[in-house]
Amino acid sequence: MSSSRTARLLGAALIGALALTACGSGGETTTSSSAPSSAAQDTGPRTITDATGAKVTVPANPKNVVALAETDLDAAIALGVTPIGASKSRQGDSVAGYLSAKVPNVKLVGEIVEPDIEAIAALDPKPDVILYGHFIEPDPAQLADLNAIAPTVVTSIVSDDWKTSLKGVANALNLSAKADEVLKDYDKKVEETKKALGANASAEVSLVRWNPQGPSYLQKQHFASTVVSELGLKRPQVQQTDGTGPSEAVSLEKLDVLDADWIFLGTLNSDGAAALAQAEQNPTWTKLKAVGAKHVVTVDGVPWTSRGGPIAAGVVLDDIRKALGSA
Amino acid sequence: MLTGLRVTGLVLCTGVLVLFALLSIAVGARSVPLSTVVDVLFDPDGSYDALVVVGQRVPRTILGILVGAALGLAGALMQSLTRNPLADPGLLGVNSGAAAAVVSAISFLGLTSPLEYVWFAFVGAAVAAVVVYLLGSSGRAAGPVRLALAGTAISAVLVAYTYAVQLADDKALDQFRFWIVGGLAGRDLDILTRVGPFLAVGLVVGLLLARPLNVVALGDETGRALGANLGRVRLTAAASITLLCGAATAAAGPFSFIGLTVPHIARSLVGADQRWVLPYSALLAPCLLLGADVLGRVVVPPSELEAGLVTAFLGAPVFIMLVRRRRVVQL
Repeated sequence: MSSSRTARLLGAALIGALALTACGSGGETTTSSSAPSSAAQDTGPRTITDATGAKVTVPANPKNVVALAETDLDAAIALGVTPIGASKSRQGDSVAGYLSAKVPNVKLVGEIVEPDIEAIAALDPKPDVILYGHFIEPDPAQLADLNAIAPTVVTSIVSDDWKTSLKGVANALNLSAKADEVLKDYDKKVEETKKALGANASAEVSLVRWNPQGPSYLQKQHFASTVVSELGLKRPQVQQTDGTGPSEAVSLEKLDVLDADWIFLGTLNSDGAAALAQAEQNPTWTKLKAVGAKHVVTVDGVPWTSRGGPIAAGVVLDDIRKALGSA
Repeated sequence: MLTGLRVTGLVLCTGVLVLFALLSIAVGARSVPLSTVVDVLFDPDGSYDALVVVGQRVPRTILGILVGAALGLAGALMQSLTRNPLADPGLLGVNSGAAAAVVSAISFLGLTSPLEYVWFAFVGAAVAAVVVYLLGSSGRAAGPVRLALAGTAISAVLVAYTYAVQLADDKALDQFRFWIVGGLAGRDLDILTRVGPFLAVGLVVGLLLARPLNVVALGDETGRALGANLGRVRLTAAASITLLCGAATAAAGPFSFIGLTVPHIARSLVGADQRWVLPYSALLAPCLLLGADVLGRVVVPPSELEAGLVTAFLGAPVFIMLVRRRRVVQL
């Protein structure tokens, strides 16, 4: 009776604990696994090797694309494709805010990592290709269901960075040349941003996500961390832990872990203001040197704390330039 | 066991609690040297360490003592009232009522901080408890068993509702899953000042119930013959439990096991006399809670493990050991 209630509560508590750690880190070094196809001129179906090594036969120029992961949606849009279906983002009932204007007619086909198979099957026009780039291990049963609807390409594996994911998406869409252009543009933008930083070119920046239970920092291999390091900006030594995700929540007693010349602060509710309000409730927050210097920059946590993509990377570069740039 | 021994035990328990409180002020995720801790306690100089010790650990410790005492006492009252050794404060529907109200506040009103949900938690707990009490004490078969059944039924409904809201609203789930694990971190003094008065009244009323509960424990017939007003005792006890659990849950989220386990430990020390069981429970429970909280601060640096998780891990084996080692002291 009450013991079953207790068990339920305990179960809920444990599930909560697992959920807390579910966004933990998988700190492996990245290995590129998608072999770009050179068949750019073919008009017939192409057989490609996806990120898991599986052979998938896809149409030469897929028109109707479903992107199940935010990173694939970002990459597909950057490659000039407008997906017809996508998953809801982490923070609400639409695709990620920073992408929604670019895909006004997209149909929502399930939650992140929980594609709604029926919704995908009901899409009109029918999908030519489904892009499956999750931040969890691919689920064979899910893949089988999806493949029954349309060729499904696993575009990246868990440890892949955004550039590898982009190449995986390009491979599926037969746009590898376009992907190279996108990457070149990104490199150019990095150089421009570097120049604009002026005196702040070697500043130390802290990347913080404020969650309901407290803050976490973005770990070494996290998407936004890689953009920051390509800019030549430094990160505090304590934030150099291995991992592609945000860290475990930092205890409110150890907020000094978050200190640097500049703090970029975001939440998933794309509401930096709320994050700042929560941070400012802690007296220890005001002691940080970045806070004293008014060097706290609130940013949209959705692109910043995502797995990234060319558009998200552009947002990060723009935000940094706006905050640190002298120009 | 002699009264003198029991008094000595009470003093000992108080000493242990003081020790845990000092530990809770001295030990944390951030390592502050003991000498510094002492210095900033007497002279808060505005340094980072001072802010951590005085601004975070002291309020957290006070909150832990009050919440722990409330849960321990409420558990003892609950077990005595329902004559059910497995009763815990959650049995009155308090935890599920608070959870249902909090998840509604997050999902429908878009509240984001524990300080904003505190009244929702409290009101939800109180409403659930009142409904359970009315259901459990109406009709001809009114009594402890009916009360427990009513509590279980209402809890089941509320838990189902809570799950439904969570499934329908991802954002609510994100906020809620941190609230649903009870913990003392990041709950500041503002919360304490809001629910403190309720906790204080609940503690005083609860402790005063010791003697009437002893009479009730003799059984309804005997109790009536001795002139006890059973209905009034049950009502007062239920009100005290609601105040205590509602306020504790509102302040720090739901905790399991503390209210269930601690009264058993108290009874194994002092027997079934509520005049001793109640104060012992109110002293031992904060020891368990503070101990769990301190442990949670140091096991997974640089983050912390919520006290609610640690109490569950610590409480379960203790409880199993108690049940296996000796016959549970009769209620």
